[in-house]
Amino acid sequence: MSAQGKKFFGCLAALAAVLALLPLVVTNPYYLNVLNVVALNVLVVTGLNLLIGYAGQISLGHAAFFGLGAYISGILSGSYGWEPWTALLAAAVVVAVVALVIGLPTLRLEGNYLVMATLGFNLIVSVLMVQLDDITGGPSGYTGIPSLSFFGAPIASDISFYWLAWGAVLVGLILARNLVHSRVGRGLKALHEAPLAAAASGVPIEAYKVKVFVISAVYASVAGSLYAHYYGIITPATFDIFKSVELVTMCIVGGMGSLWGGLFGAALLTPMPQLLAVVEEYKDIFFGGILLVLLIFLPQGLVGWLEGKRVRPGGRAF
Amino acid sequence: MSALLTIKGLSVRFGGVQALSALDLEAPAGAITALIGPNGAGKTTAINCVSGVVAPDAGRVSFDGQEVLGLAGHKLACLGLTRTFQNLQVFGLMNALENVMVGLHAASRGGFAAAMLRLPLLRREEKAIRERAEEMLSFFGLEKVAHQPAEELAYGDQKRLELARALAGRPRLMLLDEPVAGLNAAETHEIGGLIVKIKEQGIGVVLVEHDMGLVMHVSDQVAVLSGGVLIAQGTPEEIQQDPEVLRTYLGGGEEFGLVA
Repeated sequence: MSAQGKKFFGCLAALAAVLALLPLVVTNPYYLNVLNVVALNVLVVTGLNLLIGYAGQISLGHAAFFGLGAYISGILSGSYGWEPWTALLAAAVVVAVVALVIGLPTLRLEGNYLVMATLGFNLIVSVLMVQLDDITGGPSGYTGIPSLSFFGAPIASDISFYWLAWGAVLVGLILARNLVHSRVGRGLKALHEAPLAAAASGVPIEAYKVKVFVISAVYASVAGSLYAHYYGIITPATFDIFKSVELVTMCIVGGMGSLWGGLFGAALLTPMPQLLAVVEEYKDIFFGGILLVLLIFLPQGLVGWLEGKRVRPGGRAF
Repeated sequence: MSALLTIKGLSVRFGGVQALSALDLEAPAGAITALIGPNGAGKTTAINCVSGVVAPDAGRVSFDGQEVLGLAGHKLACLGLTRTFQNLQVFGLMNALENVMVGLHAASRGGFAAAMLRLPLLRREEKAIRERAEEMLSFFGLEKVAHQPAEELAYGDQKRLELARALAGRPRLMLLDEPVAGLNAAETHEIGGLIVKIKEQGIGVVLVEHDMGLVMHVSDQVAVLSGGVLIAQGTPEEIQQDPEVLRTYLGGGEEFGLVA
């Protein structure tokens, strides 16, 4: 194994150990719940980081993919009696197709058209969640979503979901790390830095952008489905564009192009609204402000700042 | 020698400027074909058309008998046609080794799923990619800087890194756009030697260059462009004595290494 690989799996083992020990200390269900929400955000941000940090494309619609994952999985299992795991997979497939449909036309264009397309998409999805109230339950939300189960045992308690969510995070991190350190990962970094030279080297730029966008949407979808089966109730407000801004902020706070950065960003920002009442009141302004300040003063994010290096798409990750 | 690259009637107009007028050019395998001419003669435009960066208004470009105009940029590398850039296009934040590994993109297969699951097939491929890239770095004398970010390399090293990246995937033809621009005499001499070595591997080279010393020294044939028109074509000796070429260079023959 390469030195980089040893470092990554060393950090991963350390993370796993901390996660294994945390429930011994954190027994309060409220704090466990916060940790679970952190895990789901980390999962989305990990996928988002592949898109923003490596391929250099920004999406302001990942809350919509997160929400579609939640609603599709929730409705299929709640209204149509699908087995929750099957519903989760079906949601991921549908979201992948939706992302493909958005990505194909917009990612062909040079410039960041994806931002506009995803922003509009998120607004539309939010409206549909409210307006299709026969199916979605409207503004008050959709209830009665069954829990996921593990060999017949329901994953309903905070602690059992803790294992599931953080297990998913570890798997998500490993898959993302594998991608980053591969031929494809190098191609993504290359097309971000010098598209002409990347194409001349044989990197299919458009196809790669679209594929990484789809993958990042699937990360969000899976996290959304897990969220729905954990809470049992979902409301449209959870998946509005401000949630998208929040996710991008987490990605940038931690450090674009660093998978650990996504973990830190989500871990740092997720509990803020819960811990500081002031923040909860003005949550959207808070995240917008952080995003602005960071982009001006700390564009390399926390992990980049700690390592004392300037911003580099993927160059520094592990 | 049959032509590997055939350009026929290539014309490009940028607004009011006719950048290329019905250019015909052939480049065989295993030979160095130089394309020279004053600034604005259309040399880089010709290379950009062949490599799919600029869409010409008219003309045909075929590579090994296959029509390549209109192909997506990345497909050319898969066919064995690579290029370097006049204004450096290294992947600055990736290290030198990774830069060359990107050059092997077309020569390898593993896709997204295989990469994420790290399939055994992929590990073997990754090893082969790394070994070939290391071989390239030592061929171009860059092994000492293999793990430095490309943007931190000296200018001459970045120039050679571009060559290494373009050569890594074992192309059949390389388009080199001013590979020695901005280099000193010693570095120019060294790169000249490397380009000849590349040719000796049976690879065709199209060399766009202002350094007449280098061009006349290494080229098998020289084509001269002026104002988008091909004004002369022949061996370096023929070109050095061509009156039309000498006129184009405004009697600055000595200055450009041309001796009437």
